[in-house]
Amino acid sequence: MSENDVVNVYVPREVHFDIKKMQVVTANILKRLGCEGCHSGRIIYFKNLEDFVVNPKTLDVQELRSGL
Amino acid sequence: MRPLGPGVVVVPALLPWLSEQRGEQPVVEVEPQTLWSLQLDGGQRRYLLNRELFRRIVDLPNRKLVHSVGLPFGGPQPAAPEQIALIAEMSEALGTPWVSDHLSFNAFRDGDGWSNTGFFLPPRQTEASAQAAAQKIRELSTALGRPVAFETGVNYLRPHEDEMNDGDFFARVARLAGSGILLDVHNLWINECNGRQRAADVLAALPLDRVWELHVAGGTELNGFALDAHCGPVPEAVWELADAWVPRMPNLGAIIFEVLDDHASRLGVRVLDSQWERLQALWSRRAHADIRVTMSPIRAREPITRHVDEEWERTLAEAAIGRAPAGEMLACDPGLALFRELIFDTRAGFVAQGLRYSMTLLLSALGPRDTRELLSQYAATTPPELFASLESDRFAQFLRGRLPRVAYLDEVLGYEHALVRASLYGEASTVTFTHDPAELLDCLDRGQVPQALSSMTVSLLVAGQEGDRPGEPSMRERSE
Repeated sequence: MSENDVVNVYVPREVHFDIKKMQVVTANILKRLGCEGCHSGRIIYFKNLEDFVVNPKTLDVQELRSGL
Repeated sequence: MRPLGPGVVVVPALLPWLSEQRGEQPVVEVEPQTLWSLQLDGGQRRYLLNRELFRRIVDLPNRKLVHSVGLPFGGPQPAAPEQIALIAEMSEALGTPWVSDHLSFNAFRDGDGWSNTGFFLPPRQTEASAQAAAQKIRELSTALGRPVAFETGVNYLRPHEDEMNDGDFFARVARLAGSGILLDVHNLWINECNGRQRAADVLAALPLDRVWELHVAGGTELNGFALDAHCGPVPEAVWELADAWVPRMPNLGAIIFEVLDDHASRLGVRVLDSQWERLQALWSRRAHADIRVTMSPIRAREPITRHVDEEWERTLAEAAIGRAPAGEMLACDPGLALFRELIFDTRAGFVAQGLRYSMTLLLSALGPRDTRELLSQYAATTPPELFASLESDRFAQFLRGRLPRVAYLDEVLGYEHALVRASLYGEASTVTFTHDPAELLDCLDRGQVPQALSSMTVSLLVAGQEGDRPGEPSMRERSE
């Protein structure tokens, strides 16, 4: 996102949650919304996301690092 | 003119590496569209340049090249004037001596409009296609006021007897257009590995004085295919091919190593340094001090009939995006299934970028198979988009119409979709969480399924950049 292309998230003055966390999340989502697939190189983000496994006992999701 | 030299495609992950280079500075190649975001105003598309990042690139002391990835020369779709205008502005700021794009197509006629393929597809290799591509190259050169080169593409389909071979097709386009060639040596090698023409035979057919630039890259394998993935170091066979042919290219002005942003950070400094050393060694094999790069000649637009080729390309596109079965000629081509998978993964990748937390929730709650099935149902009904924002918006709309029973999904999707819509449409919206949002997103960041989160009702106002400031009454919170 450029300086001129900012999406703001406004929250109450006395909040119980962490506004910095929300800002980081917001920025992380927004900075990746461009055009990155219009080339011949293969995008593998989905494969990265698929490399999660769920532990059936704890229901924790663990990320596997692929060899790619 | 003085040639530029060896270099890299500039991606954010490479900026620290570039700043630490001493001695000869790598040329940096800029893919303009990757610095854009899309805004939709009614039916009008506007492309917004990330001026902060662009300024950092302009300010680099390195010499620069512009390599467009959104105005391919194959296929019937005319170049979008909004894209040309922004590329012209960026080219001027970067001082690029030429601009390149791909000899591929990424859109097809769909009713009264156009639909995207979501991936570069190979054009039909006929005389009419060569003439049409040459016309588009000449027109872009005229519109930009700069020399233009086309990139030799990767093609996962089998060669067809009723088409020109790769070398003859590239040579024909270059001569008709009076343009340069951006020779992607990795693509030639990949094509050879996958059963198309031998790379050395392609090179032997080309007018080598028109080769202004080389691309080299690393790939991987998928389903028995060699894949152009821009994910690693350049294979030795590609270096050897380039070593043998570079001395015969009198107007070679740049050699660029391509790597995707995510892979650049994973490769690490040592691998990047080793690739840089090989690039410099390859560059030293050139035999000429100065090069000649020229504008394509201006000619009046000629009517070119290529109904048969366009129909073939539309059949390929509709089959590749999974909308229609393949025609007889393509049905038994294993390359079609690969294109389908690549397009699907690219689309899923876009959705995973724009709706990362919602996708994490879906994967953890439904598992990869059912999540993929959901994405397949979406992909079968909606053509691909070239921007992650628009693809994410479309998928979020689809998902909201059939929301799976997954705890917290409504809240997370609501928040992410609001951000996407604010980016795309400048639209403000209020999002309500019934649980602590920071706790919820923290869980997802850590890769944990959220459980028993604190209840609270929080309304957030997501505002676009158009001065859409909230009034105090719109912000409210109620803890329970």
